[in-house]
Amino acid sequence: MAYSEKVIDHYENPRNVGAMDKDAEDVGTGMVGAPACGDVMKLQIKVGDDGIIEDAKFKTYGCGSAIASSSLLTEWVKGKSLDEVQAIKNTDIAEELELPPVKVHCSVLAEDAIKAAIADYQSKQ
Amino acid sequence: MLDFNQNYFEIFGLPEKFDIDKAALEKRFRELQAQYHPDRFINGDDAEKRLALQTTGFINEAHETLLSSRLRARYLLKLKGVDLDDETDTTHDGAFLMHQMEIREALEDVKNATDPLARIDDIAQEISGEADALKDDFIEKLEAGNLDAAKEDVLKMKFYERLCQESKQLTEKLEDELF
Repeated sequence: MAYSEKVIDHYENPRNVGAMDKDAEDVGTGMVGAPACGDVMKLQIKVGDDGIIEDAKFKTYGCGSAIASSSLLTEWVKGKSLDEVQAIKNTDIAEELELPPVKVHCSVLAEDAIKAAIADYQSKQ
Repeated sequence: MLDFNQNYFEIFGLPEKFDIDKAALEKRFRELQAQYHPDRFINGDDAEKRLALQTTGFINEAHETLLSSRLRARYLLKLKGVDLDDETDTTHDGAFLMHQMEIREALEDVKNATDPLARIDDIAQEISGEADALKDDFIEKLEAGNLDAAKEDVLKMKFYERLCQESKQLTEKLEDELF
């Protein structure tokens, strides 16, 4: 299977890899696991007083598509409100990265991770 | 002719439980393979040949399922009416996933250890210890009829299956580099 150039770019130069303090009040952490392959993905957001996402970090142990999906998503969510981010669908990610059908579940994983991060942040407020 | 209504344990004459006699499984598998081998039906009509192929397919799938601890556990749940979808069902246990992340990080750091082989050995032992504990927990939950908890254990087994593969690959890679 050939990866698209966009996937390879994110895989070779992942954006926003790292970690934030998961106990901080303004940080939301989403941890998800992939049912089919046992990949794990952690996505974190830091939300400002105005409800806008100031920063996002991720760490993913998985295939190129899973890494690219989470890397792209951290780029997308920065500067957006939580409502705007809730509206992002896995299909948007899959389309942007030109994921083949067998890899669409990687984009689902990223969507689940950001939703979990938002839920975690909201539970702290 | 093989009765397709038998479940996989019945096919191999094994009791329907998680701990199985692997030697008995292999012995019966070889017997069944010999008995239903498609080559034996080479002079039969089309229907017989087709049936022989179906039968060996069924036997192979049964064997594969019982051989893997995760697939065996999953199958035991299925026999109790609990189906799980490999594409969509997964664990949402945050602490568990966080721990998975930590083990992956530890594996990633092995190359920086003073004695990488000793370090990977330690991690591999930790992984197999936790995988065994998960199997024990599954047996307990299944026997207690707590099927939801048993299902959660099977979902978690997938992650340990992956970790075992990765630690094995890493060990081989380190050995290649050192020797």
